[in-house]
Amino acid sequence: MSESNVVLNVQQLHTSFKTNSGYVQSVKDVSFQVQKGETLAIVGESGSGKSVTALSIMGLIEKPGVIEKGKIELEQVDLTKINDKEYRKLRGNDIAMIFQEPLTSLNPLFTIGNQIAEAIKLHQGLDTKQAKVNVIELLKRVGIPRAEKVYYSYPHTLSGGMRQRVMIAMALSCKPKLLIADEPTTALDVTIQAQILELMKKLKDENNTAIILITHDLGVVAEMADSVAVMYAGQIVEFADVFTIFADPKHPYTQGLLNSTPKFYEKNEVLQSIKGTVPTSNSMPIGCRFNPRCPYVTQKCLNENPSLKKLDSGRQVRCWLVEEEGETLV
Amino acid sequence: MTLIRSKTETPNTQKLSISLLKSLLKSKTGIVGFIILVAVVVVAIFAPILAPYDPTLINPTKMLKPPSWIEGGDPSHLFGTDNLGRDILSRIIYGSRVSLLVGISAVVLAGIIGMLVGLVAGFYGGWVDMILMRLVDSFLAIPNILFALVFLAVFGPSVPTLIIVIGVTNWVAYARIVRGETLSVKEREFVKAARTIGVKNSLIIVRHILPNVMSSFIVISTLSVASTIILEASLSFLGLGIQPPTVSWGGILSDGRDYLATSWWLATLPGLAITVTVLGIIFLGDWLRDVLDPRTER
Repeated sequence: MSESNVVLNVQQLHTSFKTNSGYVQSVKDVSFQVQKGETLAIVGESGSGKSVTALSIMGLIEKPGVIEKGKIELEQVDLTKINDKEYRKLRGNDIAMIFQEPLTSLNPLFTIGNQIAEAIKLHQGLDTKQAKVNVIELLKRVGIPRAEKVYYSYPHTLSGGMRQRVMIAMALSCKPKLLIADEPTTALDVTIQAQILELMKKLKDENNTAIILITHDLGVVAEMADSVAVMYAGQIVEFADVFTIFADPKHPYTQGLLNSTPKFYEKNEVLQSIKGTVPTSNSMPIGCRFNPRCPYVTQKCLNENPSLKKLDSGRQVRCWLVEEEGETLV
Repeated sequence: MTLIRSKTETPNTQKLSISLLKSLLKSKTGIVGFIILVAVVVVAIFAPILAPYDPTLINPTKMLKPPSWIEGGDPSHLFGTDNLGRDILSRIIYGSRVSLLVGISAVVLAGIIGMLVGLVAGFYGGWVDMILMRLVDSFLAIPNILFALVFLAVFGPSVPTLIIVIGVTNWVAYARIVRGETLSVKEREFVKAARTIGVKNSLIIVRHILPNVMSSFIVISTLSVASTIILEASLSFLGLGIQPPTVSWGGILSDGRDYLATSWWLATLPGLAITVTVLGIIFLGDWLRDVLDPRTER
């Protein structure tokens, strides 16, 4: 884990939204690092702050949202301190993002080629002819058959899986150092899902791109991720490598999440669920944010919010139940 | 795998115009609209050649003659004559010049202003939106005709002032509609996607928002060519439109109102000219909207 391999370093990120009843914190105290070629999965329920974290990194938090404090360093450059124009240069060039909805992520009025070429022309200053060669090359790399024809096709003529491939091609057009994939396979059916994940893996290996994968599908996590950050109510509650998370989840929320996924060898079992819902940002419980839903809740949990503890193995857990000695972060 | 239509290949500009023509031939209403509009434009351009008489020539011996196909009609005046014995056909032919000019230019002017205001207000939101929309509201609060009367009374009625006054009173409708469409289009994922690849706001507006609000814009523009011609007519009726001796359809129409009970052709025939022209423009606009949307099969 040498320092130079760190592509993205997020430190104590706080992102809030201003509402009539004051600031509402969507992301609180989020810190993580992503290495070159590493895939970090951020998992959690809806409303846990996954997407806001991603948009904060992209610099696309819109008013009334604001990054209150924290550092987002992309190769030692603090993104919270650069201006709009510099940020635009980074987007698409150094960091790229793909979205959940491939069906609506393409402008219906322009051809595929035209849209991918937009990014290339913007960042590499190529003319249309040169860009076209690159685009067709890209389309071939993401496994689109008859790339020359697809170049002139409109989005509505392609299937969902094909469109997501196009989106990936667009995101990778300038060989970004970091790719943020916000639920890239949620809208696709299972077979296509597997193909898209396979493709992302392949491209990651080829370019040594760091990936932040946002998902609530633990199957996808097991397939793709190197390390996992579990988010709950705007905070990271557990952070570990993928094997540790699945083999030995420490936080009750992580355990709950894992219990609520179907298992191949336990047929006919009623699927477990975590009772209750994620608290809304303006009605956070006092103490640990998970305490209303936690099966092991203690008096201490109701009074004080635990900090993220670093354990021996390098994993981090935010829970009073974890007794091991460790350095306290934050 | 028949995902890809081969038809969408080779979109260079020359072939595009051919495919446009082909799609026009396929659309029945489109071709009708196209023919009507071309006919009206040709008539307007070649008015001096086509008109059988001088439109301002008074002939006291042939006053209020009905059209030639009606009993008592004069075969030398196809559409009859008006209260001063002027030939209606010639007046309609000459009138097409002013009506088309005013109708289309005023809509273009109003459309450009409304489009700009709507795009900016919808896209940027916040206080920009607030100020622009309150401006729109205040324009809506003043009756069009009142504003036009004041403006024309101050600057004097002429074709350019008429275009400006109609343009300036009508842009608010476009601004509202374009703003509404912009609000919905800017939330769509492809706009977000464009942001994530680092596209500038101005470029997002031009490349991603504008083309997507275009279809509703075209529909209201074609419809409002009609209302513009009517507005010009009502201003003429109030004496502040196109001044005689210049002829406009609205002018002929309002001249004829006094004789509606006895000589129906005076108001009906220019009215018919307005109706047919407007219909042609609407047909063409409909076709244009379909063509601009790649999802409709060409």
